[in-house]
Order: sequence, then C-alpha cells, then structure tokens
Amino acid sequence: MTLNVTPVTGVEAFVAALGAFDVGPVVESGLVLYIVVPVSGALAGKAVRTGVLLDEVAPWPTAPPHWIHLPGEITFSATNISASPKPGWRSHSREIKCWGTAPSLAAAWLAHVRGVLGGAQ
Amino acid sequence: MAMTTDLDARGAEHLLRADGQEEVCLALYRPSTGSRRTTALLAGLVLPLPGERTVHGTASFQGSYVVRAASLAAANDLGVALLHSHPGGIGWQGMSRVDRDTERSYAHVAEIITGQPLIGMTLAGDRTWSARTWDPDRGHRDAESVRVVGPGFRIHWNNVVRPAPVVTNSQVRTVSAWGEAIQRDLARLRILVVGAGTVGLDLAIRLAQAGVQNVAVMDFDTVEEVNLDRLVTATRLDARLFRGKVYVARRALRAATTTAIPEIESFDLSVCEPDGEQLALDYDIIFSCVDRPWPRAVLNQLAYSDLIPVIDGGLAITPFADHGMRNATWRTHVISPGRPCLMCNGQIDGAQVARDRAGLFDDDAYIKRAGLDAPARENVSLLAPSVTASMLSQFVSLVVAPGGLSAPSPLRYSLATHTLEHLQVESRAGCMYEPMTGAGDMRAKLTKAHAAAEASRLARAANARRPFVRLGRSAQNILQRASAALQQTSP
Repeated sequence: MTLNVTPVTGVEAFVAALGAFDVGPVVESGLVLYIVVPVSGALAGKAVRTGVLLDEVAPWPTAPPHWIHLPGEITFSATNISASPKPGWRSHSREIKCWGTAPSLAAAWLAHVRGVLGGAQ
Repeated sequence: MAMTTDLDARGAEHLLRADGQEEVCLALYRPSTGSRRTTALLAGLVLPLPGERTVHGTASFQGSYVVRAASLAAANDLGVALLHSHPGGIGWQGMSRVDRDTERSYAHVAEIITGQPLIGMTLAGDRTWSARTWDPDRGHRDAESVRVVGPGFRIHWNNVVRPAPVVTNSQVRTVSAWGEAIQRDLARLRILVVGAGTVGLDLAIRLAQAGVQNVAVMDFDTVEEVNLDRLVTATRLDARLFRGKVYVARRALRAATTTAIPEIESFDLSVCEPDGEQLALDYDIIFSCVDRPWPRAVLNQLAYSDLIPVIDGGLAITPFADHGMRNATWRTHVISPGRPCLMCNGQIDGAQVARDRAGLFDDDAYIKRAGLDAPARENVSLLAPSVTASMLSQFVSLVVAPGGLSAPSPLRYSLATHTLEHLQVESRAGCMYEPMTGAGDMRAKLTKAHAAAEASRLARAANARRPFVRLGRSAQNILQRASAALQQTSP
C-alpha cells in the first residue's frame, strides 16, 4: 500500500497540535483559546489565557494567525489593537517571523506568543 | 483524472509486465471539485495480495480484493479506482466488452462502500492512460484527459471528448517549430492566467496567438489611467469607462486568438475567493501573475493539492533613494510536486500571507500605525515583457520538453549585472505544502471573502450607472461588435 496520507488542516489540526503541548485548547466565542506561561516580563510564570480567531486558523498550517487575542487588562507599550469577539478582550497585531522553518509549527507558534507576552505590562 | 509522476511510474511498473500479459490493480483517489469539472486525484495503489488476482493472458481478480480496497478507501474518505493494462495498446484506450462488464459489476459495490463513484483506468503499452467514471445505473462516462504531474508534465487526451483543434493558417509557423502532435496537445490545454495586469495580459495574448483554445483570465481590478503605461491594448477610454481588466483581456484575447473555435473566458474574481479557487480547479495549468502573498499562497497550494502546475513569476525593482535605478530582478519558477514550493523558494512568507488575508495590506490606517512601508508600486513596462518571456519559456519547457528536458529550476535575472542564475533551491524538510500533494478537496482553507475584490466590483458597478459611462460603454460595445463581425467576414 502506497497511500499518500493527507495532513489534517484548519481548526481541527491547530487544536490537535496545541493539545500535544498541554495548553488546554478549546473553541469558544469564535476563538481557539489556550494557556501560555510567559518566561519573562511582568507576566512571567503566570498562566495567561490567549486565543486566535477561528477564521485565522482555517488555513493552518499554510498561514499562521496574525492577531493575538488577550484579556483587556493586558497591555503593551506599543501595539496595534483591534476588536475581539470575546467580551472584554482585545486583539493585538503581531507577525511571526520565519514561518515554516521550525520542525514543529505548534511549538513555533507557542514560542511566538510567549515572546509577545514577554513584552506585556 | 490526475496523478503524480511517482504514482505513474509505480503503476506502470506493476501493470506493464515483462511477459506482455495484461495486469490489474486497484488504487485510491480523492476528488478535486471544480466549478465545471471534477478531477479524481490518484492517492495510492493497492497492489493485489497473493491469491487476489490471476494472470492468464488477461487478468482477473477476486471480489474480496475490491472490498479490501474499498474498505481502505472508505476509512480514509477516498474513492476507489480499478486499473488494468492493454500491453499492446497505443494511445487512449476504449473498453472491450469484458472490460466494461467487469468495471460495471464493481461500480455499485465500490460506490456503496466509499460513497464515491468507481473510476476505471487503462494503461496502454505506450504508457498512455485513459480513464472513466462509473454510475452504477447510467453506465460510464469517459474522462477528458489524464494529467501526470511532477517535475515534468504529461497529459493524455481523449480525442472524442476533447478533439484536437484544427491547425489554422495563422499557426503554420508555430506548428513548424514543434510539429502537429505537440500543437494538438498544447492547443487543448485549459490554461488560466491569474492576474490580467502587465505580465498576465501580455502572456494570455501570446497563448491565444499560439493557438491555445481555452485561455481564461481572472482579475477583479479596474483599468485606471496609471495602468496605461504598461497594460497592453488598454486605452484611455477603457479607464474613463471604468472597465474591468478582464474586459480588456477578453477583448484582446478574442482579437488575438488564432484557433478556429476559441474558448476565451474571463472571471471578475480573486483566486482568494472561494468561487475563484473553485474555477481555478477547472484548468490544467495556471499562470500566477499576481504579486500579493495571499493569492500566490492559494495558487502554491493548488499546485500540490490539486496537481495543477503553476508557473509563477515576478519583477522587483530597487530604486536608489535619490530616484535613480539601482537594479531590477525577475524570477520565474514552475511550482509542482517534486519541485520546491513558493515558500521553500523564499517567494512567500506565511506571516505575510496571513496579514494579506486579514485585509491589512489594503488598510492604510493599519500600515501607518504599524510603521510599515506601503506595498511597492514600482513597475516598468519595458521590463515586464522579460518576465512574460521567461514565464512562457518555463511553460514551453514544461509542456514541450525541448530535447527531452523539462522546465529548469527557478531562474533569476539581475538587470544591473546582466546575469541569469539557475537557483538551486531545495524543499525544506518541514515544507507544509508538499504533504498536501493530491489532497484535492481536503486542502487547507486559504480562501474567504475578499474585501478589496468586493469593493472594486461595487465601485465599478456604481460608476457604470453614471450617464457618461453608460453611454460610452454602449458605444464602445457597438463598435467592438462591428469590429468582431468584420473580422469574421473578411476573407
């Protein structure tokens, strides 16, 4: 048997990929929500709930999400803000570098979000 | 029907026996559902286990073999195909009564188990594939073609379903370059040009002039005065009448075509819109003449997921800060299984695809707040034909394979140093597009509503209601109809 196995894509694949890192991904309020623990900055060591829009995860893994959704009380000294479908939350424009070069895309994404949260006030 | 060169080779290795006897095997496929055609993409072979088939001049097999393959297909959301060989056959094969009875007898069970129609395929001794799809009640329907896609490209035509266009007097010199057999194959290709701008329009015209019967263009943009320094055949009147670029393209293609029965099509869409992507699945080869990362990512995926080779090209001009010209480079590349994708090739960046898809490339307020540079607008019409020429050379190399050599690796020309480089790019180990090969309708969902395309169409429709524009368009239409009628009646 020489079947080419097609990878799963989209929200299902994103949730499954994050699940392997024990960050508790759930789909809620039009977002995939999960937990990240920053290693530096004001939130270092704290479990922060964050999320990405389902629409932005639909092309996973061919394109990563752009906006990082966070509770409104988390702020940055410089940021480009937009709305979030989750009440009390806002989304922040952040672009991940070198997408597709890491062996694990989910790990690269989580590292990106941890890095962003390292700059939170 | 389409398959990779790898599966073609493995299928031929099994089906074309050294002892010259007929052979049989089963395969699995995924559908790729276009706007007007569905393509079955071969996903893998299910070779017979001992006792599942017998070779005795012809080949026969047990029903349990079909049930095994169909069950495997059902477990993976696939369909099943029944392949056999005609070792003495040449070209597209018809079916004998035994072939027909055998395939019909398994059409029902295959569809019941998999939910997909049975596909029948025959491999002739000259390695020409033929294919058909089965409806248990209505019988079979022959496929139009079978594409074999990889680093190279072959297409096997059904001469009944899609007959070769007659060579016209206008094509004599083109045909003299490569002969009637190549012209017959090339002229039947269904070719889509995405982006009817500087390069795309020029390129589409060349294809129509060369005798390609079905040339289609896709673009949602409107002709503006700023385009007139480079958009061939567009006029000041087109800009004043807010004509779409596809209108200009359609007019130019109709005037340029040399085939007796042209199939010129135009789509006022972005390939990033679901309808645009679905239309793109109706074509055998796509030219990517767009510069934004999102549409290039959509096309990049189709090259793998739906086995439609994409020929991509682009021009980058780097001015000095004091308005002098520092350099210009153009790159062209064929994207297909077995070749590096646009991301591995460094031509698109996933993060920029996401930003483009989020509409942020057109959001001036966002660009200002983020401190980003506005998208580059430099373009020189004198250099665009070089990109067109390089893309067309890649196309001819891919389809005609002069001297037996297919398309080269990605090419880059540097104007300042006058150097042409063959870029030795490899696919990355973690390439996310290659694993999508043959995914068909299971491809990643890159498409969605496209705000800029919708805005462009709405603005054009609003402008079309203005009295001057309505009057001007009516007059222009009358003149064009008269011109077309004169061309048809002239000796």
